[in-house]
Amino acid sequence: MLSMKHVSKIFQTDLIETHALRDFNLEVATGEFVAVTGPSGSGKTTFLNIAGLLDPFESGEYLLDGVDVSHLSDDAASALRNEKIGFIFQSFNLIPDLNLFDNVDVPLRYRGFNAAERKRRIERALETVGLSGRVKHLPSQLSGGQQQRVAIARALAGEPKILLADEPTGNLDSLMARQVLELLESLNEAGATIIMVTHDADLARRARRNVHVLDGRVDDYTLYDTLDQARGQNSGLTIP
Amino acid sequence: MMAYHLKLAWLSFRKTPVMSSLIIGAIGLGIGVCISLLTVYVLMIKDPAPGFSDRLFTYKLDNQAVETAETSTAMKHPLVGYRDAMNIIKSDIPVNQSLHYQTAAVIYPANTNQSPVTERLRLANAGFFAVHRVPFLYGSPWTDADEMSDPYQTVLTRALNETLFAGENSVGQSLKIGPNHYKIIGVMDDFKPMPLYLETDGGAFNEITGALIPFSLTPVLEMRKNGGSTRCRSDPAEDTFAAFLETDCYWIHHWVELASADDVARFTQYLDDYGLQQRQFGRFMGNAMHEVHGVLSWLEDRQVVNQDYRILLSVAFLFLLVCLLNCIGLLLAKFLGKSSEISLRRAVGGSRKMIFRQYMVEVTLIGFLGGCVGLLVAASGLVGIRALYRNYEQLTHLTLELSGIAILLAIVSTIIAGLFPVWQVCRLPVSQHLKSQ
Repeated sequence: MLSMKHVSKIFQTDLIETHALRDFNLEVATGEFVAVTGPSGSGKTTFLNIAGLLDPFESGEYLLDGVDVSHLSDDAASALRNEKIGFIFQSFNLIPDLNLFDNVDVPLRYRGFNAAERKRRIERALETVGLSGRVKHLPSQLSGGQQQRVAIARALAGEPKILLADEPTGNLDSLMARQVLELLESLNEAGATIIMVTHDADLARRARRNVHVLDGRVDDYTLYDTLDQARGQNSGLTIP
Repeated sequence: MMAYHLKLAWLSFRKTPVMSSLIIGAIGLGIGVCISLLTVYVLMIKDPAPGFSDRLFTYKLDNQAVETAETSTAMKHPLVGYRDAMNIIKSDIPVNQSLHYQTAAVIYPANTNQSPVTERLRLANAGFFAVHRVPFLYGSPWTDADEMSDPYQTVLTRALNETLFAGENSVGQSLKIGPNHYKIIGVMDDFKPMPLYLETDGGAFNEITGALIPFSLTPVLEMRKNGGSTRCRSDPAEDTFAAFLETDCYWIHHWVELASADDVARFTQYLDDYGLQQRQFGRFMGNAMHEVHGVLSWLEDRQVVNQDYRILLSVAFLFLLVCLLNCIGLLLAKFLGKSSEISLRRAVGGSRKMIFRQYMVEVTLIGFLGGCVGLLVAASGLVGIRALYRNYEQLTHLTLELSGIAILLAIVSTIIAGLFPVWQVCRLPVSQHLKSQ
């Protein structure tokens, strides 16, 4: 599903050159639930941004679902991001002026689906996260956990190949964090490929595999169970 | 997608009403000032005789009383004296010729319950109606033959006919103008050349009002010009009207209708020949640099649209530019305030082009609303101009065409102003703003 080989990323200012990733190598198979951990500044968010085609990289090779993304135009990268990747952010990143329906609708608009298809997908995604009765609510009318579930619904609505989560429970209390994590686990059990960046060791242990990043390199792999990593080969996520 | 973008634009407007109103207000103010002045300007420079202005000509004689090294155009008087008018009108080159001047008289309504009114009176020859294509509501103008045989005839303007006869057909009735009785033979329909090219000395933006009587009555009635310009090179020999007519005083408007460029050349030559002849009589001691002007060149020569007004119009457009420069800053601030949303949209699959389109739709909507506000400002501005300059009444009406131009100008200029801010926000580093929300 995701293959990075010898990827490097350098942040450069007039005075300082910072190697955020150096010779970064990682393979993630379809259906895996990978937690990426590491101390602050280790490069885990940089990895996630590159994996999500949000940031370019200087050298190396990156294949996403078999597509070499090294030299994609903005249009092509945006289309690929829209089709194959679902993002879940720490701060939810919901648009405050739009109700839940319209928030989940955002990526679908860029896909060019017709109104009926969008409606079907939105309702299904909101039902999956347990918010189907609140489509007309604004994000400000929801709790933090509910907002994160809307963000997950938005990520799921496009039926992407892979979910990228950046500290998805970082802004939640423990009860809501557990609910969100259980939701991610159920999605993974249903075949979703998930890469979750976290600095929370307990949270990381809930993933199938833990990748530890240090100084821009993969430092350590830990496999927590022997689940078949090849569930749902090359298929898009289906909402359970 | 357009409807979606419009919805987002409307939501954005609601989210930042003060900022959005400031932008719309700035555009509206700039557009309003420009359009109000442009409205006046467009009406000032438009062809006042559409379809036949290329056939109408007037002239300035090089009629200096003393020899001069050179004769500037400013030294030549734009009007013609009675003696020269009577001579030049004998030319058979023009298809039609118009002689006229304006005076005033007391008019006594047929209905004795109405009080006498002082009205504009124009003495005009029969050719006046043909040269200037005067439309008639009732009756018809007098002929050359009438002028000689039965000159006590009058044609009323539509406005005067409304005043005296409540708009009814008054042809055939008698009207006392000054001490004499005139038979009404016609009522003009609306005749409002704008600018009033045929008579710029009395105010190029006035209307023709009152009544008209035959020019042949000039020496009989001894009515001097009232309003406009009269300039004499010398005092009349005697204090009589006959002496005034023989003196080199310039006060009559003479327009000719020429059918072709050849006729223009022939008429110019005719003036040259006339000038040489007059030189032999001790008149016209200049350099025989007579000028023949068409309608538009005459308006230019008479500075109907003066340089000050053009400068004022330029300043108005500079003001619009300043407003738009302010808008660039305001739009940038407004859009940068949505960095997180823009980054989110980019993250979930919106390309730069898509984001660019979305925000250009918002900019276009702002431009449209700015244009609407601009129309209100322009309408108010025109009311102000009308209050300040009474003779601009005809020039201060916002036309549908100019309203459309106002909206279009607002949209186009806002789009141009919006290009930089929108381009900037499309280039925002996506990951940075996602993290910092």
